[in-house]
Amino acid sequence: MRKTATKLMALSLAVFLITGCAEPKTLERMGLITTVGYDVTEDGKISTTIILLQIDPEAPQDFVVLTTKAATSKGARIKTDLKSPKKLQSGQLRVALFSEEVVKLGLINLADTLARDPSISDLTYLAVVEGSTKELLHAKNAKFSNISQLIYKQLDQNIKGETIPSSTLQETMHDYYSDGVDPVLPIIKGADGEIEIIGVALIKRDKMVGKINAQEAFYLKLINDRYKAGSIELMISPEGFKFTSNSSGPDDLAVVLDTISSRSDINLISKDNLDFEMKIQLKTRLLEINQALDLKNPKNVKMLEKKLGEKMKSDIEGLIAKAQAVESDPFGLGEIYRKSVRHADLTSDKWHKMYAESKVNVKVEFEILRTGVVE
Amino acid sequence: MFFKKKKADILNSMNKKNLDDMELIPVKKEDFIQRMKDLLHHSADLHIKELQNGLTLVYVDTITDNKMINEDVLARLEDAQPTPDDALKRINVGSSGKLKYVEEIIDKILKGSVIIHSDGYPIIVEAAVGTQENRSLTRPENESQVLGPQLAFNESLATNISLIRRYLTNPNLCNESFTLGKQTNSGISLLYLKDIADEEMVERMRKRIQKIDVDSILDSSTLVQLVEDNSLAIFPQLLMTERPDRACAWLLNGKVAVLVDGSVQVIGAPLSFFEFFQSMEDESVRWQIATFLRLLRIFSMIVSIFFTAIYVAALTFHYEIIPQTLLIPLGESRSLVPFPPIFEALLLEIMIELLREAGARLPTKVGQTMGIVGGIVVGTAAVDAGFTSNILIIIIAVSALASFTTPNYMMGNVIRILRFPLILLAGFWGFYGLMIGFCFLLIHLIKQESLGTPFLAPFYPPRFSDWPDSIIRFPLAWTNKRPHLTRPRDRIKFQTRKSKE
Repeated sequence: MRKTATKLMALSLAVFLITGCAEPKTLERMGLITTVGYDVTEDGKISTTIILLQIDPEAPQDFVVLTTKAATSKGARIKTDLKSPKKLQSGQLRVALFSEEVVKLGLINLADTLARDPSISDLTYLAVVEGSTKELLHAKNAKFSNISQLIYKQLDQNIKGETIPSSTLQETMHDYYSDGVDPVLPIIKGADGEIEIIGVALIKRDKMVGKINAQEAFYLKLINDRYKAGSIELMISPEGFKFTSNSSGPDDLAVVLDTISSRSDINLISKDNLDFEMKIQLKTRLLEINQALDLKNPKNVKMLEKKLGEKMKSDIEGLIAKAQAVESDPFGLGEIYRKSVRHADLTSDKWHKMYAESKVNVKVEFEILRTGVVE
Repeated sequence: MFFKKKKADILNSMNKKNLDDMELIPVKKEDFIQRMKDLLHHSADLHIKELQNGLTLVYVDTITDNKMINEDVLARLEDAQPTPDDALKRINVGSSGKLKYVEEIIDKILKGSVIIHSDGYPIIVEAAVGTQENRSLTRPENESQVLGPQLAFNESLATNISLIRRYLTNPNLCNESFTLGKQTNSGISLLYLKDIADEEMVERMRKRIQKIDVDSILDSSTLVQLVEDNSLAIFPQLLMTERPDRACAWLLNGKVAVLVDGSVQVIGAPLSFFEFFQSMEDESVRWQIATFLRLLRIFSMIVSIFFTAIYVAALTFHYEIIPQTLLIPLGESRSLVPFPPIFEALLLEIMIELLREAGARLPTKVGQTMGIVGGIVVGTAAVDAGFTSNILIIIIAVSALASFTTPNYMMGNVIRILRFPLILLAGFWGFYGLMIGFCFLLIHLIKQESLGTPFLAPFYPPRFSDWPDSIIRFPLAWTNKRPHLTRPRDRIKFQTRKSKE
């Protein structure tokens, strides 16, 4: 019994003394990267701009911006370490920004590096910047104290508020590796000390091929997201409506709608002709209308429903045509095809050729449930 | 292993001791008096009173009732015949009898009896006239509660048993008596309900008590350490209570209770780990509230053990998991501290332990100063001086507070101590270390037994029918069965349907 006790003691001593400790990453000694931006320089190198959290009560601002040029993103990190008093760590990364030029050349090398680093969260948002990310991140901002927090919160708020499609690292990588669907990334632009989400980038595989505006992004979300889309402002022609007062208002009738529930259903009708049927059910409430229309009259509401449905249908058809023209499939029609056709043997190249020739019949069932409640 | 052998030897030698080995009582009066004086070493309080008619009274006056001796014994024996039979007939004491051996009468004298020797007879008459030095019944101090009986055991074995008998007016309540301790000869009582308690459990407890060979038992907390299953474990495996209602609830669930003379705590066995987090008040309040309170206590145990360790691990190794809005205030208060998080946490934990230990031994009047010293000087000044971070103060305070919610003092102590190894593990290996610590604790708990029954029941092994009264409490009608843990002879407490009507 005494022998085993001695052996145990020796073993535990060995475990404690020989193995040593894990490598500590004490919080206040780490430079925590919260936002990273990638640009391409003229000589083809990557210019990386990072924003670090500045943990110092006496510092004038609570972040630091550093820019370095290198051939790879990790190479840039090594170089940036030389400029920083604290060891750089990307475990708190929230947003990764790519300039339009970078995405036009191909996103995947950079995104893959992010995805393979285990300390980086899969829920990091990716976004495209119109112009240079360096300028955006270095811009002096009088309205907000911390630009990295601003960009993160703005993306987060709009994605959670159902205004634009979600574009986390995980979703982007998933869409890239699926043959029948292409990723989408929001486009942001900095101007006059403000940051605005101006639309969504259309991407073929990992290269940006076009862009759509914020309203079209709403339709994209309506098609892709099964349950809920956000609010939208629609313009329709005032023909056929009887207004209560004949005031000479604006030419177009503007209606603001808030989605209560939506459903989209895409089916492959004919696999030879590549005919798709896209059914969209939308239940909304009317928030605002810019001309005096008597909404207590059911006839008016019916007419409004009909006209808005038609407007939506044509808008969606326009969006699909636009995406087909650049061979980008953010709707995931390829996945529907692969799901419906046995032995489809779909590859990304094969699908992008087929996609341009496919036809989509859009059906919109539009309903205004309430006109009274206004948020 | 060799301990056990030794114990068994002693037990055998005790059994061999024959009645014939005992010393007979001297017949002659002078011999008897001399023998008594020798055996009790001429003790100052030993009284030997020789009466005219040849009777001799021996007693220790510090533990006997003078009034009883004068009125019920002395006054009646004045004109008695000098025979044991006549003396026994005349004395007016309820508990009296005849004895044959010297060892017996010494025992009786020391327990407060007066013995009467008749010249020429080898037989002694004994009458119990002892006083019970005993404080009156008070409110429970350690297990106080708002609802329910406000009564605690006191230091007298007889009073304690009478309290239990008052609650359980039941002929099946068995009381077995033992004497333990070579020097102290303390009285021990083993109580159980015959038709409910499992005979095997009772036998196991009986054997464990009989096997004990110590020189003294002064309190039931010492006895617990001698009868529990694993004395190397950090967790107590038997629970003690000072509430008679709780002891009765245990008996009614088929448990056994062990009482020690001179101790206010009653030992209950077998018990599961989760009963350390239950209070009698859970039975008095409504079931929703009882469930909430029980879950709160389990939650606070986890908080108390792991909260500081998680802080240390997160700040030393896993900055990724800290919410970004917390990063700046946390980092800023940390940036002034010269030590790594593990030293910071250990320092503050030890400060809290110092405060607590100092407060526990101080009189209440001085205790108020402690609050000021602890709260203001240590708390505020430590942060101002850049000794610790603000957030750590909050975390340590919360985990200290959480450790006080455990209704059992013994378990509370364990929770306090467990923090330190976990902080060390977290400081050296981060969450990996914490995980190892947690697994070690869990395996340790699973291995424990309480009177031979699994300690983590009813969760390991899973006994679903006992779940309604574990870390939650369902309405009384749902908990009409006694727990599997005690293997009760009669599992049904009452019929649900009848109780509803």
